[in-house]
Amino acid sequence: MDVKLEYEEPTVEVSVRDVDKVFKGKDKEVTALKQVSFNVHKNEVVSLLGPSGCGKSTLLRLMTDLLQPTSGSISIEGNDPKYARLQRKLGIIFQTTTLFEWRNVKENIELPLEIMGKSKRERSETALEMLELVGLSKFMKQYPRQLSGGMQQRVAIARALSLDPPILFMDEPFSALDEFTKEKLHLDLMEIKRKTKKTIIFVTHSIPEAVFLSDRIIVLSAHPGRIHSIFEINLGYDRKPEIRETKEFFDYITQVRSCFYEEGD
Amino acid sequence: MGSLAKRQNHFVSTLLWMIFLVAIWEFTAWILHSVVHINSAETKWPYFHDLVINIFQNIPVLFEQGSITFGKAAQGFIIGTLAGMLLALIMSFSKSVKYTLSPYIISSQMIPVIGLAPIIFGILRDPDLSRIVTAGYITFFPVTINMLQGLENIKPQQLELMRSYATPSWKMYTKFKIIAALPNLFSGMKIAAPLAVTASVVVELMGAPNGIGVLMLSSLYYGEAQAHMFWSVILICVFIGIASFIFILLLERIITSWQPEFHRERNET
Repeated sequence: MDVKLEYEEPTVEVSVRDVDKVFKGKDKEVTALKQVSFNVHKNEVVSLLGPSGCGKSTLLRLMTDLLQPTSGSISIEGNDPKYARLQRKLGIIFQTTTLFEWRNVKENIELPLEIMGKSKRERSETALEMLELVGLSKFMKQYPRQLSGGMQQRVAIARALSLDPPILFMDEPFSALDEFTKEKLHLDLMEIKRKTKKTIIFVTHSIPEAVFLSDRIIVLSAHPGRIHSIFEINLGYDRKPEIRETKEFFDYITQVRSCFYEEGD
Repeated sequence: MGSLAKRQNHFVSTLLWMIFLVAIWEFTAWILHSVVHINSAETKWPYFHDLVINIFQNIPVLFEQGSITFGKAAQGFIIGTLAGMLLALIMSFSKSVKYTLSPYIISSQMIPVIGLAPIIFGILRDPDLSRIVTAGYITFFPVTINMLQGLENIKPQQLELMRSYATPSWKMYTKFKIIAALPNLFSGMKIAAPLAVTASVVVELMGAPNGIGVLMLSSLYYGEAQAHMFWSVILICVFIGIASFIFILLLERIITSWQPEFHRERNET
């Protein structure tokens, strides 16, 4: 008898195939990425983890059409990254604050919608909704200079979400923040993931951060950047801060950390 | 409260400095006039209070001629600023235009105003137009250079962000690059504003029917008799130059009030 499996094949949202990236300098070439392949599924949180110089930020820029691969291919929802960018399907959050100093919080969140040509009412409605989501409604009239680093990053997240992109690309978004703010924002991100069902690709060099947030961690090694190993992190979907105290959490950290010692001396 | 006290303190120290400088001026004049007894001391170093008296006695003519010079300089300054901005935009838009034009723009500034003014005057044969064109010619260079720097020194991640929104190139300029370059534009304008006044005065020295430069020239003809007038005119020139600089400073505060530098005091307290 045939057994019908109740198992649903996860949808591939981002697919990276045999990607090489070579930067051509004046008299030398630097291979930033070599033969990188992986998939990211819908609603998944995937971290790209590695030391500086491993090409993780380059990889993020390749996926978001800010750089072009030297060879190999990348697809976002079955199309190339350029198409996804032009369709405004990519939400990007950078490490340094990219808020525009001349716009207040609400106007910053409205900017992508303004560029899309949305009506004033629509812009305002979406911005207020996003402010509510990141808990900054009270600060909508403030200017970036008046906000703490953590608040600025929450505004940046709200702005990225305002276009309602299926995927969020985050490039070390919390690494400039202090430890307390960072932990608070990890929980905020969990909440945003739960509410908005986004696929998240998260670049980081912090092992605990990657373990806490990710469903999968892709560990990259440097010179040239290539995939060292991939870890599944089975700590559940909605993670509470208490997870940080559990043995499983520490075991994952130890496992991931071992990658860096075996080759690095 | 702390910032208010600080501001008062600043005001008091500025005032003390001015009093000190005037005292030095008066003292030097007294030495030259009454101790050393140099020849024609009035033309070389008049008493400051004599100049103040002279300015007050001649306020109508100084104001009239001063505002003519300032008016022409301002017109040239506005045209030069607009031309400078346009040039900077074109150069930031196209690298090849930038590299083609750069040497000409730089060499244009190698011609001294004193040599340029008669050429422009000879071509245009109109004193008003000559003043405007010369002031504009002097203005456009610092404006172009500073504005271009502002358009190019943009935060790379803000640029990447704008690209990720698939921003059309004209919106890239209107919503982002031009606004981000405004502080640099104002730096250029602050340099150019007093220079535009000087340019206008130089043209007047070459031959114009009116303006502060003409007043300067005519007072020179009469030597010692008009020495106070000559010095007064110089002081008025300085005043107009400083006033135009301060005007741009205020304009910058109003238009780009978002600049973090303007809010530092509040952040510190």
